[in-house]
Amino acid sequence: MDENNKISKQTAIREILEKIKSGKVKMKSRSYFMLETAAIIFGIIFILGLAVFLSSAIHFFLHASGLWMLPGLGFAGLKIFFLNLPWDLIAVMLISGIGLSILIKQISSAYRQPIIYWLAAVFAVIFSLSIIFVQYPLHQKLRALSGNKNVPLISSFYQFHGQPPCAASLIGEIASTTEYGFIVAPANEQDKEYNIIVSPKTNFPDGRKIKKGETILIIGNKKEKNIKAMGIKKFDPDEISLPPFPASCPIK
Amino acid sequence: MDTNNQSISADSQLTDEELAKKIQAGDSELFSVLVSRYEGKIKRYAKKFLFNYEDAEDLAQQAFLKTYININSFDSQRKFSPWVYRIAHNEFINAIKKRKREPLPFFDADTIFPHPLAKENPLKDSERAEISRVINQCLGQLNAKYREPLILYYLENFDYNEIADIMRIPVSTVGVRLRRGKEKLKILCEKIN
Repeated sequence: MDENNKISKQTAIREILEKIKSGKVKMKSRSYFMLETAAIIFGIIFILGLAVFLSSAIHFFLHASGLWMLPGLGFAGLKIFFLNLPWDLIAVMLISGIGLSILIKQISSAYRQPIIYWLAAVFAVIFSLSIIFVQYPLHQKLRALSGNKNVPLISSFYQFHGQPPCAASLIGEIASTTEYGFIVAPANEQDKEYNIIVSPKTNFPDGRKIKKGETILIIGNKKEKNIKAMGIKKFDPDEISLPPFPASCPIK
Repeated sequence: MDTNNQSISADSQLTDEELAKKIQAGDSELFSVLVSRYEGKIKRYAKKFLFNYEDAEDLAQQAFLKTYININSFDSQRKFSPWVYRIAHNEFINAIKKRKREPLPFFDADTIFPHPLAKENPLKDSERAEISRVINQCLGQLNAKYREPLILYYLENFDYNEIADIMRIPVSTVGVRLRRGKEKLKILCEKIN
């Protein structure tokens, strides 16, 4: 039996060597694997760049649109906040992060750790880099460019995102005070005024001291020209910029 | 003749990693030394893992050919053994997927979270021998997910880190699968005996 096993082993080895010698089986060159690794590294850099860009864009849009202020206005504000988040960008960013984790796993021993650890590490890196990226005014400049010219991709990207939250919200200047609240001239509708009704239930995260001439963000229930305010917050025009193009969903 | 015998003897003294380095440099003949060292092991692994596949030996041979094709991707600073088993693992998993005889989940929840209790404990020789005997008797009944780490640990004598490298799963998951595999094996063996 031992002899048979030896013969069988020698036959198997001979078959393998014959395939190698005849050229049926060829060794892949070292440069093939170097190129493969380089391609993966390039993919990692590209996807990381994309994820950081998207993460910083989300941060920019949340601030530029005033959306980030809404959770401070109570449950109604929180609801509008979630409905108006740029979910498409968030989805692409999450998919990029997962793709990045898969690529990193190919060229490292990251697989030795549970997925949750290296996913957390990847997203921590993305968010950290996006915080640094946000310090530079790239998004502001690209947004301004998109308003002036019809630049492919950039125009649609910045026009579609970063709008002030649609429906049930208003940004405007206090024209005068009334017995029940204020008269507000909306920032993006000329020759119009809205009657803002303040009640004991109205949420004022910045305090109730609001005066004529101040720009405010209001969320509430609108009926014709009256808005029953659920929340009112001071609006800093230096921090939050209205887009340099008409709003895609004008307040009605 | 003497020179040839001396040369073969000298080559057989080289470690797997040194042999791989020489093959990468162009000495393809030395691949026969690596094959002769691992042929028995990979065939055993194939027969245990693919227990009802008639072509397990052919798949083992295929694994060696893939090893040769990809030899330039091997880092000689690392251990050769887990690397060649990794190639064999990929071949066998592809065969299982192609023939669809067993369910192989695309994504395993075991790999998501850490399992802090699943640490490696050194086994006594008597314990290892007993578990190996049980594995050989009842392995065919076990799911591939648990069968493979049991084979690699108890029959092929790899440690947790090496199994993690072969199967590309977290080290803590290796421990979890071994523990669950042993529990299921116990139940299966009790049913059979």
